Amino acid sequence: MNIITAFWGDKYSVDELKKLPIDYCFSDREIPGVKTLPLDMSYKHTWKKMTLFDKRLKLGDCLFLDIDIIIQGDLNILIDYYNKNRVKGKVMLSHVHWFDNEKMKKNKGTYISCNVNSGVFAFNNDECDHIYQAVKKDKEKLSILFEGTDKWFYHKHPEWYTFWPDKYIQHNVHNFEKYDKSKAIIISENGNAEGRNKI
Amino acid sequence: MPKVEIKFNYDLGLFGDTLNRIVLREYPNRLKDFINSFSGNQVTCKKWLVEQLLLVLKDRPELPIKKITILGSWYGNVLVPLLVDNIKGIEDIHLIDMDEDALDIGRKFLGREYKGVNLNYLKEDINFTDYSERYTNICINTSCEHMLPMSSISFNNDKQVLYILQSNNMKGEREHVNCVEDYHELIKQSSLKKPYYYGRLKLNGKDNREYKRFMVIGKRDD
Repeated sequence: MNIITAFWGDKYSVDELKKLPIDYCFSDREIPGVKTLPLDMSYKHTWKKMTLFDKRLKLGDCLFLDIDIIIQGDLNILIDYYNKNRVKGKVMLSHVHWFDNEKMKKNKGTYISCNVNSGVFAFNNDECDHIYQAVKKDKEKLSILFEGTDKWFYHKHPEWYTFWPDKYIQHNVHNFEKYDKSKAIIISENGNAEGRNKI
Repeated sequence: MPKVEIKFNYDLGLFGDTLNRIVLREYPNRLKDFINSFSGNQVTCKKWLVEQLLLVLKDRPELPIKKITILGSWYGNVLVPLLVDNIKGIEDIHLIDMDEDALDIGRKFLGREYKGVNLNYLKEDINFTDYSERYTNICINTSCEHMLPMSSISFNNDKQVLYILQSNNMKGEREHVNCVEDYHELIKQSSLKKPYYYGRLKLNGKDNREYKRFMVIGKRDD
């Protein structure tokens, strides 16, 4: 299992990046002390992350971590869970249980609602090339229509993913389902959650 | 500007019954949205559409009008009665939206036939649907700002289709992915080569903010 991340622009610092226990970082630059691989910068915003599904990268099983997460538990528990529950060709990602999903389900007229979060996701790079091909085919269209990749997954491709158990990934601020945060393995600090994931 | 008289004989009894029987009982979460669909701006813009369409048809009586496709129809509750009450000769109206609840409310509100006109309700995501095998005489989209540019949509008989399109310049709304600055931009991004009408309305929206709504009526043939 390769633990990977993506790092571009100036939102986060190299020091923040180096807190992650990563094997590889996909980036727009060489980072001393980190195994760096080039990131396709021709994609807007978080759409860049979708290029990691390109099977030509030959990455095998991967655990992707966003830089804005806090690891407070044992990552091996996540990796074991993925190994035992992985479904061929599907991505395992976080369920946005920290907001009311019922409200989201009722908002059917726009692409705004979303219960998918890709701050922490696991996948097999050889099996998920269909995602890369789909994003490559409709690159411009998708970035116009959807605020981000999570909303694209949620609204158009529910067949592409499964979820981590809710208790493993929790949000730093929001907690609609009232989980015990001390049991979380990862705490997401997703700054966009307030505005972009809410109805 | 020439004026035409628009009939808008709304059946308030039907409105009240639908509100009680359908929206409050089955879709209470849609109450605000449903009431908003009857807002002053909504009615003004739909009346403007029918008024200008009547003028276009008055000058071009040869244009076929039997089949109308409404993209992003929402409930269809204002536009359908306005079209049917004011334009004679319509046989079929296809209401298309990705919001199945809005379509269901619309169907229970207007039925499958409204004053002799067949109404068909289709749940489709317009941004991901291919219309190139379908026929229509008129294509209406009053929410172009919510979708990809209309140039991405074409019908089998595209050169004969009369397009009636509205958009606005209200950027900053999360669902407005494709606003335009003026009607020239709307004409261009819709690939209309023969505009019969174009115009704009100044309106006040959320927080009394002024915005402009644009409309073009035209065809794609040279």
